[in-house]
Amino acid sequence: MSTLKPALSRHHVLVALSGQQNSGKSTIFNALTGARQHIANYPGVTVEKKSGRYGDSGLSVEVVDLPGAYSLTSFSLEERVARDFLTQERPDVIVNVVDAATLARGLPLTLQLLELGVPIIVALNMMDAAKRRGLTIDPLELEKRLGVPVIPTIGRRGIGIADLRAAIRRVAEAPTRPHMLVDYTVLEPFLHELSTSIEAQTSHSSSVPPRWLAGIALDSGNQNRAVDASLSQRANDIRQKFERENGISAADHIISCRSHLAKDITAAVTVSTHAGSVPLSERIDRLVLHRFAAPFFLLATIWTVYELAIVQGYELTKVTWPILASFRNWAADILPSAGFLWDPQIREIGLWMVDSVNTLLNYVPIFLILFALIAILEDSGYMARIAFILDRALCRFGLHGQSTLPLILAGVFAGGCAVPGVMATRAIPDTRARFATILIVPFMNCLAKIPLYTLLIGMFFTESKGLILFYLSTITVIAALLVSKLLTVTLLRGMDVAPFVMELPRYHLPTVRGVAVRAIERTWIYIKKVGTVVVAVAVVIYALLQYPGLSNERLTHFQAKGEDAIAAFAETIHGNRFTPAVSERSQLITALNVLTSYKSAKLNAGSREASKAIDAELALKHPDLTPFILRSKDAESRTAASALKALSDSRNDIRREMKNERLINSFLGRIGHALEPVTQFAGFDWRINVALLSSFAARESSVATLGVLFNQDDNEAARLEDRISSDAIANYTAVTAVAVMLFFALYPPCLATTIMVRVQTGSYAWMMFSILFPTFLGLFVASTVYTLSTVTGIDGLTAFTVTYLIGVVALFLVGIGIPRRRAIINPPSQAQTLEREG
Amino acid sequence: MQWLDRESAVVGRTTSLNDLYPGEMCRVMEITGEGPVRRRLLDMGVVPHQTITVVRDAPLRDPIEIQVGETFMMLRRREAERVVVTRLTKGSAS
Repeated sequence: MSTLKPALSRHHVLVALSGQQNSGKSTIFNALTGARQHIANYPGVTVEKKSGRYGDSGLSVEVVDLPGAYSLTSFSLEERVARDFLTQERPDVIVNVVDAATLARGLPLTLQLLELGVPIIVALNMMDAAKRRGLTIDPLELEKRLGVPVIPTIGRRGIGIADLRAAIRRVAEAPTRPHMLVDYTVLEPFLHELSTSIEAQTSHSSSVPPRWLAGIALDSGNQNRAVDASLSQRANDIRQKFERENGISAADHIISCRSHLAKDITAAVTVSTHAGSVPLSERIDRLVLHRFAAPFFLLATIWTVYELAIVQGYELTKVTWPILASFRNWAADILPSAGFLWDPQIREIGLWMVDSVNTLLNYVPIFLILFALIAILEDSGYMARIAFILDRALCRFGLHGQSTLPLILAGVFAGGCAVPGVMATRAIPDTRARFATILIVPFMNCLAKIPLYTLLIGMFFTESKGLILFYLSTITVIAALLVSKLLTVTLLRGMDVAPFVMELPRYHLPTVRGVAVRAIERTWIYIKKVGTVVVAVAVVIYALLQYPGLSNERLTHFQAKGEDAIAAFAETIHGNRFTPAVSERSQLITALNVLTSYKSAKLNAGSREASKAIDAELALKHPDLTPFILRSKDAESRTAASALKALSDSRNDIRREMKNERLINSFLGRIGHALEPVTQFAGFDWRINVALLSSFAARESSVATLGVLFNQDDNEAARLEDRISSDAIANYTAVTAVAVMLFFALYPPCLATTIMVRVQTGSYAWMMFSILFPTFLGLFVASTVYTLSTVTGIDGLTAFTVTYLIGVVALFLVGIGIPRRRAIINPPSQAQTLEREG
Repeated sequence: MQWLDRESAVVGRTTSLNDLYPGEMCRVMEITGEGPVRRRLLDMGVVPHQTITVVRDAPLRDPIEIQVGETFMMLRRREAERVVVTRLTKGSAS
């Protein structure tokens, strides 16, 4: 046993936490490091890297939570990341977390880690679960067999954590190189031969034992990246020689040696008292995964998540929105104040940013609830069962059992949000299915799409409202599944496919702390992303909407209108005793601005007390303006107040008109016009184009923009409907509405979602794809439907029905397939069948 | 005699894991093919000579759940097809 340099000389110890999935690694990590955690990605990949620190009397210990891996071969990304960290960063201590209840499966990884030559401590976790299973494990015996410290722990309850810290300290003070335990029998000479070659190679860094590299090279076959090209060739030669001589693959031999030793050790250290008894989790699964009961439990779970996160979450945003609104009011106060018709540039852009950020921060309560629920589903073990139940249905379309949750969150049923939907895809292990899910999640009916649907249905389909709503809510799923299939067989074809071989973890009661930490962590990541990216994109959109602005001629026109309004105001209050307070133009503008912020503060006030406080504050701050604003019994004050209100109203009207004209004249408006030659086939004129373009920033704005374009108040849908249909220019029909709705259903994700797409795919190229592809698809579908309907002269409802049926047939054709069946060798007897069903 | 032998004739014959019914036990002979699926199965303890019990089918018949030692795991039928096994007599466990 060779001695290693004590890490203590540096007062800093790097500990790598390694273990298989479901070994309780994360709970050990949380218990060791507490709240001081840092989450980042491993360089170049989307695998999360969690690290944390704790102090141990002068010793600073950094713990890195490696991704869960069943072994250190390079077949999956997680395994590759874990292996690269261990060989390149060379931690001082490896803490190998092993699930005590499934020791025989966990030990092969331990044996592989032992060969690395890094000091190891085994944390024998979930001792309680092992005990419940009737397994008594002797840690001392295991320690003797493995030759490294073994610490029994129960991570969930923090038991054994102090011992684990003490062991880390001991090992860091006096590190010893562990023994290699596995005897590879007939492979040994070949291992020796290759490791001698590796040792001779000068480029080889001395930190990783050559024998370990040799083992990896023989084990991983052509996939190996552990050694360079010339050695890789040599490894292949040696492996082929071994396989010729022994008639077994080197990888199989290695695994078989390790797993036999693991079984021997397990048998030696374990005493099983109720062998053959049915574990509790299995007894639960007999009900929860029962063929007929499973769909019921799944639906109940989905409904609960949807209800709590989306529905109750939105209720909660009503409570939190005033906080964001008062932040906006505060910003409005400190920014340079508004002019009569023109605001300082800095004010406009500042408020625009605050609005953009607020729109996204508004989702925070939803996310907190959502991520907490997801953490509960993950920790309890039910998430894996969702995949088990639904995998068959989704796998046909290139998706994965775990695609269910993202799709639900994004609004399969009645409306959700694509942002948490895209975020939730991170749990999908299969890269291809994950990308497919990310790209189809935005097709779901997000809550913000609904106002436009409601508007159009109210205008054109009052007779068959229910049918159209049904079409809309299901056609998105049909389209999403078809698109997923299309992408899977084309663009995504070459991507990594993870084998669907997953553990069904034991059920656990999630801990409050574990759930809270994860929910807050994930929400915080979201907020950070919003902070950095949204601001930049908001500026671009702002510029597109504002520039080049109005011509001088129009400006003079609006100026004149403004002067008229002021003149009218002056006339009304002429002789009024309060007039001196607003005699100067600047005073008047101040009065108008005070009125505006007073109104928005009142709107935001939650209670009568708060409302009164606002009145009191106004009276204190602007005593001379109070008669113009507060309701009063005084006749002159009433006149003054109604005059100021009238002026404020006409100011708002003029401003709205200007905004409208500026939008039409803006780059975005011009783009809308420029797109007409293309979009005419879908029946979209420039107004619809602008509305659709502007809704990229946030879906909600499509209806608002249409309102602006149809020239009045933007809040009253009923009136907007009348306006649109009566407008002589607008020659819209029900077919146009169908085309718009189809386009909107397939419309690219909103700004926030595209940012999440960027985060989850780690690539701007995919983000651009997620914008462009749905645009073309939507335009194609809308144009085809509109043009064909116009040519054949069918009405909107028929057009929609035909489109829908085509979708259903396509889905059926793609989705149909003969399920794999058992070969019929041994048809079960009646008795066996009954036994199974029972 | 013939009908009595049928069971024992089936026991011992190699078949694929996919062909077993829930409740049946088998012993792993080999895993065919190469690649990540094979590797994942081996890493999760589906190694030659290991005894496996088929626990249940998913509600849509695919994937299936199996018990390997103390671990319960699921795999798709496509993957189960690659596991060559011999049937053992039906065990008492589950």
